[in-house]
Amino acid sequence: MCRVDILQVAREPVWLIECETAIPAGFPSPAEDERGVPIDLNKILLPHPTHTYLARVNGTSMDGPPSNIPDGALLAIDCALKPQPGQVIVAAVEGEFTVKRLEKRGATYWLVPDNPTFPAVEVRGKEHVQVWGVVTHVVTELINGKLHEHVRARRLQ
Amino acid sequence: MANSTNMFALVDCNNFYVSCERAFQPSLEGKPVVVLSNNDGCIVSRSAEAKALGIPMGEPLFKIRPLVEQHGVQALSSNYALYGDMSGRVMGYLASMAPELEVYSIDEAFLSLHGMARWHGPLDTYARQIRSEVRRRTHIPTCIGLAPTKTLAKLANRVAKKDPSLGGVLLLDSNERRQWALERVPVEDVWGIGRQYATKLHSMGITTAAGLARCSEAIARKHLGGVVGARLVRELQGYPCHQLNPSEDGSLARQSIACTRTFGRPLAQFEDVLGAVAAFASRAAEKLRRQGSAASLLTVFLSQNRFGNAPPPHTRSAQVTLPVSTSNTTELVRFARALLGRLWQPGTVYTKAGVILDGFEQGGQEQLSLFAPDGGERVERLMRKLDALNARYGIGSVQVAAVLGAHPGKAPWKGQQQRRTPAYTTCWDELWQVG
Repeated sequence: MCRVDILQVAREPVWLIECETAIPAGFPSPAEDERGVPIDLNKILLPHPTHTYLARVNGTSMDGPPSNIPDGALLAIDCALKPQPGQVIVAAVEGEFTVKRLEKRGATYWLVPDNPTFPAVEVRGKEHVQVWGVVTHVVTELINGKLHEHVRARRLQ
Repeated sequence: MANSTNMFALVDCNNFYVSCERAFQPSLEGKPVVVLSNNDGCIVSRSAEAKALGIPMGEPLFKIRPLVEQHGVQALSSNYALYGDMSGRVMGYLASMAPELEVYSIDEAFLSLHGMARWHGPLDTYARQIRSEVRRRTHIPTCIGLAPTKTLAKLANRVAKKDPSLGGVLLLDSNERRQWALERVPVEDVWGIGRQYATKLHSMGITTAAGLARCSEAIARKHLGGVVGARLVRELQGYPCHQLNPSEDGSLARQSIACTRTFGRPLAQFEDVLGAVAAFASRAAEKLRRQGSAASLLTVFLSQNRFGNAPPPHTRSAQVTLPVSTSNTTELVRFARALLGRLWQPGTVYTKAGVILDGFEQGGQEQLSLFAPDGGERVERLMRKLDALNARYGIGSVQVAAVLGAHPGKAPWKGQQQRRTPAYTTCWDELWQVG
């Protein structure tokens, strides 16, 4: 069965308004001691703001398993990480940026799309392909919410 | 060389504006690229390839048109939102690598590496690591000069920039190396030597930094502006006279704030020029509040076309000492308007204006005036709200009415910027895109 944990999310400060009516004192809340620290999404998505960049995906070359990154998704890219085979990276190939999975086949590295209709690119040395950063997170939106104008929402059937 | 344990590093980004553009447009790599000033006027940054074509710094674009067409030079409008964000990233990383950091300009910083050799081994190795990390995190190439004084660190950086065989890093930790570097730098390229001093030194037969370092203190005092010159020579000899002015947050509190621009087109209507001056004063006031200062001196200047028919002077300025130092936008705009009124000559076409704030005091500690209007606290609250609104909804969301000028809509003083790249890192609508 699928379990859903609901986490408390950090928001802008909530200013409490002074209340003039008397509040009856009574039994203290048993949850008082269990209150945790609110979750800050920025800390997870952008732990290192000086070397993390946001970018929008243009195209469907990664729209397939296992990454399933749709056109218009928002990427968090960390440039300080050393890219490992198997990771999704942003690289410059002949002057153009591309998002692909870095794979090692035998002694050579390949940039492999997760969408099988696109071709893989063999990495022919450092001059040919320059790694820009490692994709750490993908943000997509399933409804027309606040990100909608900036990120293309994934169309649901 | 002085037996000093402290070492300064000067980290300087190579062709910073061009490098920022290349970070998001790898196709510009290896091609001649120049970045233009506001209004696409003059060249303010050149790639190595553009320098090799003989394109000078500060040249107006129209003068190099033939070169641009012949060699396919890419000319871009300046994208200060991008450069500011990238500078913040570089400085943020540098701050984590040294106990003290002085942000010297948008693209260079002094680090104090005092005691770092104990933890990180040889300092040139450490500098190489910093250099490659800056490159990896921001894609911006740098050069690093290391020396026992700030002036020598600047000089070492210069040598590292000119000599590719050094791999971008030069450490001056012995007399022999220092002497070698001093001999390679022309005297006019020494930090603190202006054009006038350079001419004077050349006439005295001093042509290199090494020659300057051999000067006696008496000569330095006599010919290079007294104690300032003496310090400069001492620094070249390896005796530190200048310390770091570190900044806590990576942004240095400034001693004066200037906001000046060339207009997008020449302006002849008072309301239009007032709109520009009011906008500059508002912007300067906002910067002033951000660093927690209050200004006591306000200058406004106004320029005509330097190449026009009007006789000089082309620039006129007026200054006022404020009754009470302030960071209040409405107050500063009010005084700026009065100064503009004094400078204004009907029937004249103006091309440029500027607002300069000086004489800073710590905010909230201003000397009280007998005639000052009461309600300082309310004004302060109002300004805080104003800054919060503009931070949240974008610059200029709330502004004084004078900024609007005669025709609300696009301000006529705003620049052209027809070749600006997107603000990749700071604007949702212009966010960086990858395929």
